[in-house]
Amino acid sequence: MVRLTQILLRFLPLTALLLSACATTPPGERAPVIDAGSPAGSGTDGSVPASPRSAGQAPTNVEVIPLERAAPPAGSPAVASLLGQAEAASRARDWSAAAVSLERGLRIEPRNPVLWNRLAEVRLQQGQFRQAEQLAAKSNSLAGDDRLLQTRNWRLIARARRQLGDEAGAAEAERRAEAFR
Amino acid sequence: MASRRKKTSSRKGSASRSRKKRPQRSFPWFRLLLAVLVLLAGYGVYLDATIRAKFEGQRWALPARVYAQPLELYAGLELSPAGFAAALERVGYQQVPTLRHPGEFSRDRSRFHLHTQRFRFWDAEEPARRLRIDFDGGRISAINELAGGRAVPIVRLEPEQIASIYPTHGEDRILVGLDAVPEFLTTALIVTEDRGFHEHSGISLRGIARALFANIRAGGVVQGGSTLTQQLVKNFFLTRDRTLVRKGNEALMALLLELHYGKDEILEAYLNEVYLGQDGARSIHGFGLASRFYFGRALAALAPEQMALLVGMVKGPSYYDPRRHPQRARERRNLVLDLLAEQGRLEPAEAARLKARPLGVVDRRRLASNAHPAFLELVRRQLQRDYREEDLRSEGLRIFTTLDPLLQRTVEAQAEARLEQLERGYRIETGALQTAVIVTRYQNGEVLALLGDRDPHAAGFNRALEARRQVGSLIKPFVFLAALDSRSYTLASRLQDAPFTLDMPVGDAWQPRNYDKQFRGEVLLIDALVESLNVPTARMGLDIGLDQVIQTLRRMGYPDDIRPLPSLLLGALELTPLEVTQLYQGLAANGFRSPLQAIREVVDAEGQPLQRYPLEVQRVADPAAVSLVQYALRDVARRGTAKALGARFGADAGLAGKTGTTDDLRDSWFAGYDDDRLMVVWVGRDDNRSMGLTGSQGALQLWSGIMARSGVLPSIYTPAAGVNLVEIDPTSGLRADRGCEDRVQWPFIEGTAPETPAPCAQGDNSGPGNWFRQWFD
Repeated sequence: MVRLTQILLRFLPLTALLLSACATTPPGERAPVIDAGSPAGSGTDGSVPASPRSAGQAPTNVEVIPLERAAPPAGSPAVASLLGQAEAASRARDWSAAAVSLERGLRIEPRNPVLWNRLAEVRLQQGQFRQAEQLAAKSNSLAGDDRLLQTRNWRLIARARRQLGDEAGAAEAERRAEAFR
Repeated sequence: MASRRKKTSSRKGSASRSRKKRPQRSFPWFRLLLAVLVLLAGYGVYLDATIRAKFEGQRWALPARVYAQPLELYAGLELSPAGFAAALERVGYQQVPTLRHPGEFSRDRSRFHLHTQRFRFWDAEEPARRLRIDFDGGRISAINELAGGRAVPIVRLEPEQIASIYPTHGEDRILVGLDAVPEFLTTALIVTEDRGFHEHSGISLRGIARALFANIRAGGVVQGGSTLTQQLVKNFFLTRDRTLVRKGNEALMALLLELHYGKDEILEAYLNEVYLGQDGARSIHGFGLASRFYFGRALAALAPEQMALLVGMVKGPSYYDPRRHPQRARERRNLVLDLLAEQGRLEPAEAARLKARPLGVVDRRRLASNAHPAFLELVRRQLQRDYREEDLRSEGLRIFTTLDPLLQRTVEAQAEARLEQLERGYRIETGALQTAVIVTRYQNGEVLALLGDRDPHAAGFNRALEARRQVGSLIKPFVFLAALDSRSYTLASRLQDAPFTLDMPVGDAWQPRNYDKQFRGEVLLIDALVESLNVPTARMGLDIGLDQVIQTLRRMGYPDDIRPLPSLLLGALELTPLEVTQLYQGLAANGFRSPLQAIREVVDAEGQPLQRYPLEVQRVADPAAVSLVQYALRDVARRGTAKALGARFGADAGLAGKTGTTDDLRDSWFAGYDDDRLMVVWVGRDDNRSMGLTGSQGALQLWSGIMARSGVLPSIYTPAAGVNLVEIDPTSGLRADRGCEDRVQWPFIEGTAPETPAPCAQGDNSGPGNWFRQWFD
């Protein structure tokens, strides 16, 4: 199945533009980039999965609990807008502003593996290699079967390890990145 | 912000210079005069230095302001219209029929119009915007700009201020720059207090003459002929008594001030210095803070009549206090408006219209410096690593915290209600029970709410941070994590539940028993955790080795060294609720530890960033093993010691957690989480006596009450990579198929699932009991 994340990552430079486009989409209409990731008839909305694998359990029954907080729709326009802000800040090499936007996004969608991946990238750019490695691992732990994102994360881990002088670890990470391709 | 322009030119003692060249004469009176002049000149130099030191240094000690986390509004956010209205009012918004100014909202059932106020956050400024916000039941359905209708993806509302850390003298102010002060206000101030402000050179002879005339007529001091400059000097440098010497000083300093500084600078200082009211021990200074204090909004957002009221109050902030003496305040306000009309600064018709308006003063919100003392204590602890106490009190720092004010209030209200209920229900003396509660967002470690005493305003012993209590069975998930991580055990492993004795090098032999004092012979590993059985846990822990368990605990964030005693397997360890929270945070977050944080950012008085506390993660446990423990903890809430949760919230809520009970029922714990929040609750007595409550009877009740009112975010079980769900017969722990009616899906790390078919499995042609032999072969 083609996932939104894959699309996002493949066309990363375009993403910000598209995401800011969906920021201005009138309510009720979905931004084109979101639809682009949605395979027809798959039953999903094609957005970034909050819980990538549902483990075959029964869907949650919202009737049971009277005062329930429902999860915001994954890959919501709010998070798309924050991702767009982070991309813009990254292009301007304003890494701390990018990190703030991504952290805001993670408060809304803490399981969104793309946000964790982008934060790892920002830390790498800031020279925080250990955090970059850890954040990419966190992204991987939430990536489900999104192989493209996992490849990206492993490559990022390889770069971080190389910077830390861990050649063997970097080679191992590269091997794992290849295995996901 | 007040500007701090440096002046380099100096005219120290200029008064004396012109006289120095005159030929000396020997008359004694002249020498005397010279001596006096020299003294005066010296005094002038002294006063001048005093003035400039004050004016060019930091003029005011500014309290640190502590903010809760801002409310982020976006389509899809779970929030009721009523909850939204309440949140707006807490940050000072006023409900009005029609929007006119920033800081106002109007509501038509599920549709809000909102004029937000400008607010400077750490990373960017959130502009003032006019928005339409629509609700669909309990969530926001759309946010659009009022003009043009453009959709707005996300809005950060200004955060609620939860505390200030005051300078010791109790002066509070919000500095405003002259450019941020509406012209109407300065005009009204000058017309009312000092009409000649722009002409005079510090003192106004006309003003003095007018005052003198009034005082002579009244036979006492009824009017001060003070200019704004003199008033500023008086407040800045002098005592409040009305002696002649002080009056002389005041005049001299006013002249010197005008000599050095421009009218705008003096006016700006005045606007920030002036005393405008009292709030307990805190004194309200400056129009910036007064505007917030009386009207709940920024100065730039005030209506003209509100500005007129503030200007009128300069004369006597307590005499004209609009909350205590609304009639007097109204008359005073209208007098100011009349003066403006008289001076041609306001159309008479407009003045009449404004005079008819209500005062518009908001209820005095308890802007308590001790609203949430337990949480603030955590904030202080984090700050103390980086800041000195005196900087916190004087540098005007702005501290953005992680507190969720709505959740915090829910926690406070529930603690009060539930503890009373428990005392009644279990016949415990009133007031004997105490509690501590911590709620975090476990994926990033932010502390959302914290309670250290059942009385939320008590600022003494903070149990959440300081009470070290035995944790009991709360430790078990980490023992199981160590066992599952070793790969020698699975959730379906069979554990012995039979008595055993361990001889100890010192002291009595160790003989663990189950809470119900029964022995079951053999149990499945998952059931030992779900039912919180001591004996199988102890056997398993000893089998993998205490060192393994200690290592796991240390990696997960256990703060101290642990002595390798077997009793640690059953939680004979003392931890504070905060430390327990840190341990469970990593467990809930799939093995990724994030340090618990109470602060996001600190900025200085100018809004420049000083410090960020960024989101950090560290992988501290194998996510595969963690996801097995998580599965078992969900079963605890579904069918185990916390099954009350399953009954109350439904099994599909996917809640997970662990009860903890210590010897003689001294401590009652529950640590549990939904899809977003982890909450740790402790209930017990300060004197450490038995209170007679287990974890599920005490702490779980409070936990569940808070969750019910703050809303549960249901979670779907997600096994980690490398973990498969396999159909199992829960009685035997063996492989099930369609033949087994009660079969369940349990997670197994790849390659560890049992292969042996369960007795109920179809196609199993071996005789009854055969499976048992196969297992042990």
